[in-house]
Amino acid sequence: MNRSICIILFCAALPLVGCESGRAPSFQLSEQSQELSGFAKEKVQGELEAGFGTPSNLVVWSELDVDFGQYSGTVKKVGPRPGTLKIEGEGLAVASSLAGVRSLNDLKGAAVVVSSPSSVTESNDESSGEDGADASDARTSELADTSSGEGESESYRVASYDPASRLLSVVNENGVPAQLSVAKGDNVQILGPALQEGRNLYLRHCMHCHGVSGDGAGPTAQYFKVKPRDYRQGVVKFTSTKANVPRPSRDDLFRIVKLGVPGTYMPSFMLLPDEEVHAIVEYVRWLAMRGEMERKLNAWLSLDYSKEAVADMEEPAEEIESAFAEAWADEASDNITQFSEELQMDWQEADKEENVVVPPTERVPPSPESIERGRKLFQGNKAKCASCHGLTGKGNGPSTESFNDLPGQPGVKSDKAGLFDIWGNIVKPRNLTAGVFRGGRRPIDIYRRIHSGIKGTPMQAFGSTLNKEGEIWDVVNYVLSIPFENKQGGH
Amino acid sequence: MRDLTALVIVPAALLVLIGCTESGSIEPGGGAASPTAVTVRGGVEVAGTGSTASTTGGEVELIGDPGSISGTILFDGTAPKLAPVVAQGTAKADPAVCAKNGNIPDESLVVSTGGGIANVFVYLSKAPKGFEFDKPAEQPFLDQKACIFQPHALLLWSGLDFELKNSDKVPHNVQTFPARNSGENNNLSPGSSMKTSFRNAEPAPFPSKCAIHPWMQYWTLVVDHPFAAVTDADGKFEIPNIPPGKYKFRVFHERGEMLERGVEVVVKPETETSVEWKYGASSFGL
Repeated sequence: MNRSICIILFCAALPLVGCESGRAPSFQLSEQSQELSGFAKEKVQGELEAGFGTPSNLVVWSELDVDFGQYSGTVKKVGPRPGTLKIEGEGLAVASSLAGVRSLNDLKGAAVVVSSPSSVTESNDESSGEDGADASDARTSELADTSSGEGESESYRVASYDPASRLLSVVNENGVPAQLSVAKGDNVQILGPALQEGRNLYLRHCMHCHGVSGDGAGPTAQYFKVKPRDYRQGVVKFTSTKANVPRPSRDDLFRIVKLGVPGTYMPSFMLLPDEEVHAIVEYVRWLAMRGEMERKLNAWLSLDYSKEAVADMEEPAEEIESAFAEAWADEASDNITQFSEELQMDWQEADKEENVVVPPTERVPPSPESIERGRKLFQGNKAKCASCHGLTGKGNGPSTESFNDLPGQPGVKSDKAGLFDIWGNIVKPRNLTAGVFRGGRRPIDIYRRIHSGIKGTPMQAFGSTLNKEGEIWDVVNYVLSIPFENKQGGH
Repeated sequence: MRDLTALVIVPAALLVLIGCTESGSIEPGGGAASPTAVTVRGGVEVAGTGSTASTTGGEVELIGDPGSISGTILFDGTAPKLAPVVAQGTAKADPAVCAKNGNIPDESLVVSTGGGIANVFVYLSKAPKGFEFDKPAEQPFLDQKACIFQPHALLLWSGLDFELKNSDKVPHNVQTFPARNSGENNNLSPGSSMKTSFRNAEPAPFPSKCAIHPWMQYWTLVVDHPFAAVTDADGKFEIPNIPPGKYKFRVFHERGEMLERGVEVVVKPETETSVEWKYGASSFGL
């Protein structure tokens, strides 16, 4: 009898071990940030949390080119219970393209901003920040609680929203129903639901490979030979954007998620509804921006304030720390504003239609003549594709035989031959005889790989070299014919 | 048998109970079920005192006419002879052009017979405040000859176009790896050239490479002020027209990296300040 009881208790304990449903994830600082000395690391962490938050407390930073999702409505009256508002008319309406991905029934946690329609400029004076702040819809005013005065404005969140009764329940940071001083006709904005949904979908579908911070080092990534993308440089390999436009467009990211990357572990998410994929894409862009902000902060600080730098310096630690505090006080505001402007500019450029690579001529039909011209370009001296891809396109050209310096360690040779990508991996030129094209196998995809190169890799942009009419199409036709050739190239 | 039954049934029942949430469906993993809240960022609220002293750039007195700095950077001891990166006739790519008539030297440490170290960057990390200067009309250009980048150390201004040339009979590409700009990777066919630019100043010099001829490498520094120089073949450099004041210069060499993070140089009005800095083999990891 005793033995049975022991076994039952033992079996009862087993399933309880390892149950961690609902544990909150957190962002990691990059390897570079970890190398900063304590006082600098603290400031970087603080700035990243102020601009991006944590996966459980997302920050809507309207300077960034991200669709956080927005609902808006007008206050009809203050509701019966404290912290509730009744919304006019049909209730909250979608005010940004991605908002609809999170249903109206499930807006819990989204930010609530209430503003009086006539005093938008007035409230901008009260809130701290840069001068010249414009009252455009990109900036939100926080007039929710007049008693808080200048400086700190309270942040309000949705507790619940009932579309049927149009009753919005608002709480403050501590979950206490908010003391709102609003009047009929005030504007209500709900911010962030699309980012919330993107975050949930990302954690569910993407995080295990790509990591919580988008660093390509999730729990499953260690088993892969071809690593998942690390978004934090803001670079993605397979883009439709021009060579001098470093970021991918939303369309590029959508394609990658929907179609996957054949030949790698990135699967196709074709079965996810389009709306959800758009939300994931938006979250990925946001993660990339966070990574880029971290890199920019490090580029500014690490030379003087990394652990190594501080150890090298002759001054005592307290002096360096106060020099840092002075430098931060002096420059941080301007620098961070500049960094956010760069992020805004770079990502917006990528979505502009004029920056998509569109061939000037229609595709040259894959006749034997075109394929022969393409072969000559591939193997000849003008484009010299063969120097990396090999004469027969197997990816074994002479460039792959050299032992190159390890990235970031000039003078230290790698013990493996081959060229590196910007993520520090040895990357092999594509074996074109296999007919597997990671970035897409449509002729236009291959055209774009040749025209703009594959960003982040040694595959360079041939757009200015192969500039005669039809040249790139000839190479595309040849490349598409390689899997069907005899063993000897070109016959 | 009863024990075995308990062994199987009890955990199974518990697993079912624990796996079910209140609604009876399976929870999504990865922490997706944890709650999220959203906060709106008001503005870039970083307390600034707006002090005029720049800590690593320098303090400018703005009293008196500009002076100048002329300097020499020397190797302390006998410089080691480095083996060529490609011995004559052994180039794996394009041997008809690369290393055809001679070795391709290892330019990672170039020391003259007089001990002067070439290709050392001397620069202020940022321009001193309160001083205005004009951008130059022209920038140096990068060229490629006999499968070697020329110059090996390139000093550029941000925001200005510069030219990439290929004077060789074989194609090359130039892949840049900057820290504060976006890298580019353009192919250049024989005899062609193209213009590009760097938007931002860089905190330190960065390498750029050719993928087709992987031994090819050169270093670029991008600045947004005129107080920067590169040592020539004799290890000499000059910074003319610098306002009087106390400065902290960075000295960077590709092999030694930051030889100096902030070496102090005092500039007096209308005077040439001479400096001589020496670095030995240990500074270069040799």
